[in-house]
Amino acid sequence: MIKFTSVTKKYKDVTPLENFSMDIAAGETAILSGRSGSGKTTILALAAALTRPTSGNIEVNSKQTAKLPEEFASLFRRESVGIIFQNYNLMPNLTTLDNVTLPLLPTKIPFRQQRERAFALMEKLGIADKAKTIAGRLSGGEQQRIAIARALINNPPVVLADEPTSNLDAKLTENLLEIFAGIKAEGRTLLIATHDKVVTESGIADKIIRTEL
Amino acid sequence: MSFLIPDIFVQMILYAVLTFFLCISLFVSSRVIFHWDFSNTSEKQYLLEKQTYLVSVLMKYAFAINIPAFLIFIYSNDKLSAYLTGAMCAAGVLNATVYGKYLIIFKIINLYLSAVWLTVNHFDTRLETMPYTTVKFRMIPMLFATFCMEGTLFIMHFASIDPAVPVSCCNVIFAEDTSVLRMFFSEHAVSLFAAAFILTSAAFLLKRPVLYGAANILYAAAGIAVLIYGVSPYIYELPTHKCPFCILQSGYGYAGYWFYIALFGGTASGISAGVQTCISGKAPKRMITVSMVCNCAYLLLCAWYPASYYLTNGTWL
Ligand SMILES: Nc1ncnc2c1ncn2[C@@H]1O[C@H](COP(=O)(O)OP(=O)(O)OP(=O)(O)O)[C@@H](O)[C@H]1O
Ligand SMILES: [Mg+2]
Repeated sequence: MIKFTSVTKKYKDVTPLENFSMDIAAGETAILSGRSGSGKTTILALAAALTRPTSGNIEVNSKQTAKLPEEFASLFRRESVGIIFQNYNLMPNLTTLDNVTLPLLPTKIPFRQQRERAFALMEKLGIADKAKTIAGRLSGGEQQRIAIARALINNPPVVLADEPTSNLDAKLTENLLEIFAGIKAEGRTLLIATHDKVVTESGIADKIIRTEL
Repeated sequence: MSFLIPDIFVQMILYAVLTFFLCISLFVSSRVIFHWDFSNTSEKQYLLEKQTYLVSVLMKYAFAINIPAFLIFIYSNDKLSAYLTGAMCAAGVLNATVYGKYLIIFKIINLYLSAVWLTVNHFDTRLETMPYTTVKFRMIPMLFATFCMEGTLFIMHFASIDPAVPVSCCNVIFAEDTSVLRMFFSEHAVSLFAAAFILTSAAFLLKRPVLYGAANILYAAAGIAVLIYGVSPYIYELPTHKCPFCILQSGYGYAGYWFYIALFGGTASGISAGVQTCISGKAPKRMITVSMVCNCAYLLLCAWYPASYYLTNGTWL
């Protein structure tokens, strides 16, 4: 489902990834762990086809994403992956509902159906009562749940999360792990980049992948 | 004649830009021809894919500009005819030097080649596996050669026009008895055009895309012949005036542009669709339909002038 074969990613003067391989099967949950700067975010960006490798092959959801031209890459992202960014990347001036339905904007799904889907997800994540509130005014934990709802709105088979617990206290971390267990139970492939021991040791992962520098 | 005349200067700039883009693509195309391997995941292949993407975009715009640039060329020739003694229209200007005739031929060839290339490029970028990239880049050296030829002819032509020397006008140039080929075309223009249209329609109705492409080459040639020898006298309402350029002038309501746009639109997309079918094995159906609509429009345009002349005057020319 997510398969990297001898992937190298070079920037001008750093090579965060060299000859990196991994294989995550469909429905598996994997944790990427490693020191800061060891290339975790880079791996997620490559898996989401947000950037291209310098060399090597990447297959996500049975698609060779390393070679996708940009138009196809954006279509792939829309259909196949949900991304929970480290700093959430919400639109702070839009309401919760608008943030959640944002990925459906370029699709032909009718507006009513978009709202129904969004409310079902917000209900599940406990933010339905904040639907009409401006996202920038919500607490960190609430904003994160918006980010999760937005990542799941297009019903993606692959979910990528970057340091999802970095801004959360123990209680919210607990909550988040439950949400992840739910995502896992729905049969989605989940890849979490983290250096939080609580997540690593929670037993949610089928597999722990270490990135070394 | 000076290259600083704005109309010519603009075209010189277009040639300079096109040549620059073509040089870049020639360089990339040599690498594609020898090193392209889509299944490879090496750094070199990825770099090449990025470069082909860039070059495709550059060439797309360069060739797309080349199509309206042809109209600028015709229009400026038409305007220059005012400065040359004896010239009534663009025909006189083109005939002012030995290069003019070859210049227009190369211009037309390049126009069609640009259309074919743009078509292959369009279908290549629509698929994520870039299946026609090698074909597309194999065409670049040929395009480079024909465009260099065109540019050279352009410079030689305008450099050697001497405004002091009188030139022939279109009445002389397109007179019927100048050569055997011309005599053949002038006598059989209408039947040739009818045959080409029947062949084109048959290929269209029988769904034979490659034949359709080939028939369009014939249709383009016969279409020009019928315009010069069959239709233009009715536009001028003068049996002796046979010229494909005067119809572009304001006195005739710029009617010529409609003829050329319909003919080029129909035949260029028809030929490109034929080539695309050869390459991919799959016929671009919508393109063929558009092409056939344009070809029918051209036929109607051609029939309109003689028919309305006959209806108002009760006689043929
Ligand atoms: N766009 C970029 N341009 C140049 N260098 C970059 C770029 N993106 C990442 N890097 C570099 O690549 C290396 C790996 O970065 P990455 O963000 O993948 O690390 P990380 O493992 O996610 O770190 P952290 O745990 O701190 O989030 C770093 O040295 C970083 O500076
Ligand atoms: Mg990171």
